Amino acid sequence: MTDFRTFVLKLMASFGLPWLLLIIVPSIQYQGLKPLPYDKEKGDELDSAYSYPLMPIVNQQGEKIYAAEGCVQCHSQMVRAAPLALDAWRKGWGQDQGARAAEPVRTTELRDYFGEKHSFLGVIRNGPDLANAGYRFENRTQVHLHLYEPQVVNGNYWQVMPSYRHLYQVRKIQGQGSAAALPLAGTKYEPKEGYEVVPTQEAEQLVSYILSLKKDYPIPGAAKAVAAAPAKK
Amino acid sequence: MQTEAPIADLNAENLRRAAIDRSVKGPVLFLFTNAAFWLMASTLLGFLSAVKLVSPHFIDFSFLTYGRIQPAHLLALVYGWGIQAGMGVALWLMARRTAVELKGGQATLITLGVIWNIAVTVGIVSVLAGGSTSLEWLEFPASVATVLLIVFLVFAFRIVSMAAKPQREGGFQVSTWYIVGACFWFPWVFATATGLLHHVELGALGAGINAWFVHGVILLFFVPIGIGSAYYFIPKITGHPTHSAQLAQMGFWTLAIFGGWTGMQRFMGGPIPGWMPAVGALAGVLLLIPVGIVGLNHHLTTLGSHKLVGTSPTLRFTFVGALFYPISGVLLALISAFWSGSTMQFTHAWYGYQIVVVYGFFSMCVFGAIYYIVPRLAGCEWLSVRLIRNHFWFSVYGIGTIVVTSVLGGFQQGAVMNDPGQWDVNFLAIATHSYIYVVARALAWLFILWSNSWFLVHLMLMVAGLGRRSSAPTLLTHDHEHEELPLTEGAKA
Repeated sequence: MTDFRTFVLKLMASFGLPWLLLIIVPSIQYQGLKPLPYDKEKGDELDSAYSYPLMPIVNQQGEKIYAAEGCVQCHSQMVRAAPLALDAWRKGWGQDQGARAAEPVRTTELRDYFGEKHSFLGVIRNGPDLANAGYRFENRTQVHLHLYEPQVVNGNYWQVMPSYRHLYQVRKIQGQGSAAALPLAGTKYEPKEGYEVVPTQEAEQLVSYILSLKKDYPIPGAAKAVAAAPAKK
Repeated sequence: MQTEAPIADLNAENLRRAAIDRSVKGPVLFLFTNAAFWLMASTLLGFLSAVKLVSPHFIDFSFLTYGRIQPAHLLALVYGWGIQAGMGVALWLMARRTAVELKGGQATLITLGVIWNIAVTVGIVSVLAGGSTSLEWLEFPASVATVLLIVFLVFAFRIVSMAAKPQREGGFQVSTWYIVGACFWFPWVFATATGLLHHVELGALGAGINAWFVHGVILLFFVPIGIGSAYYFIPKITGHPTHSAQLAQMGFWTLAIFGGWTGMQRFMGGPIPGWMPAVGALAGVLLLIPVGIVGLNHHLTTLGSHKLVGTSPTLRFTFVGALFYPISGVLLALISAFWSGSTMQFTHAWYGYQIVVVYGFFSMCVFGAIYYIVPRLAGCEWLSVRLIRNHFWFSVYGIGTIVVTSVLGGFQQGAVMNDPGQWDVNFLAIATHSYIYVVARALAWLFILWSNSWFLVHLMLMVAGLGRRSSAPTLLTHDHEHEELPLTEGAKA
């Protein structure tokens, strides 16, 4: 019996240590993490009325749809540090969508994920990283098309991403037709004559979420951040 | 010369064992049968999700998109099959090892088993229906997690209380350490993760805790149950006691000490404070120590009895399961260490690791245990050598294929992702590189589907009492030189 008791105590101690130091203490510390105010005197573009990260960061309603659809199974939201991986130099993974970016994308930091209950950092990258997906699309329609039928956008027969058609409604055109209807004319996925494809509320929320993904706000006091200020909206 | 006393002792011993077996029969057989059904479901979903990675339009329904069936596949594997079957093995093994009968409460345990299965069903259906939380291995709603925790705690309490008062000298030893450990660790990890992730805002740290949880369930539930079972059955069937008690002790405590630190290296180079992935990576590599120690000990125990691996189904499954343990340990070290992990990170290698440890190692050990336990509870012997052989070979080839293709595919995927020469390559090109590996994975799941259907049928016939009426166990050979095997177990128990 005493054998058993010491055994259980040893079990508690050996696991209790990592449990306390790796999980509980950091979780409590995280609650005390505060946004950092900007400071013009230190070279920041914004003044102290603003703080990093700029709130609100992500669209909370859309985040739920993102979770429900399991997007995290294929898309990460984390830019790995430069010496470890190529993420920061990958084309289109930051603000600069054009040719080779002059500067690497900033590595994601703990505060970039403020306001998220638990972040979707990633499982397997079957698709590109979405940490800065907000910069990747020119308008909402582009995102909608991508979600409705990725092949429309990619034009590629081999396509890994599934269609999220169930977030869209095919309905009879009434009057002028909806302004939100997807421009599918001329594609393989054009609806029947007299019908149109319109996004549901969930689709709109998901798109708002994807467009709100911008995890490269300048860090106060970081010199390089000046050049990479979030100028575009 | 035989005297009368030993025979009487042997009879008493056999009667006592039969009484113990009878006391746990209901709950254990219930858990095994239901678990086998979930294994089928998981296998089917595994096949589908692999196909979906290549052809997303295959059986095109919203509830069957990759983002929903991949988690459903793993949930069915982990909670439907793994933990359920693990509880069954733990209960039987603890009762036998400590010689404590389960006194009453069988009906309660079966009822709780029913509740467990309902909870898993609700959880998986809600994921498929679009209610996923996208927390890895915790995609079901918080209420389901609470139910699972309560059911597990009751089972764990019954199992641990047997270990607290063993009815025989030395009843509390290696295999039971592991089981008691699993009974403590799993609810602890599970309650911490669900409590924190569902109720506290943690941002990126939440993802780290989620990864820690997955590694915790693997290393502190699946691994201990697998090792515990191997430590019980290898000596029992080979007839050699565990080679070294000292190695066994070291293996156990190094696992206990390092197991809880690992997980956050999944997000190395990411937003989590740097020391956390670093500690995780260190622990992931240091876990090679218990892997080596346990592997060595099993090897030394089995040495000289390799012929039995060919004939005894239990030993054959356990032996191969125990071989998968070092493989899983090396793979964990590879995906954890920064120099190789940065390539394997976010690739199919992670899937390969989950399968090698949950299926290759844990499940093979549990199959071995089931082939031993079920005849003793059902009172009849396995019907067909061929079915067992089918189950074995198709499983081994299937799992081997999945693990090899996932690791190779993952390595290639990661290498392209980190290749400066391909900084502007369309991401779709990277995904298409791994098609060949994913197609192989889909085929492998079909192999496993074949093997599991026969396992399920065989198990159901046994549970229905339709097995072979014979006093000789079903061995994977036609000669009868090992028929005396079950009688030799007494000394080694």
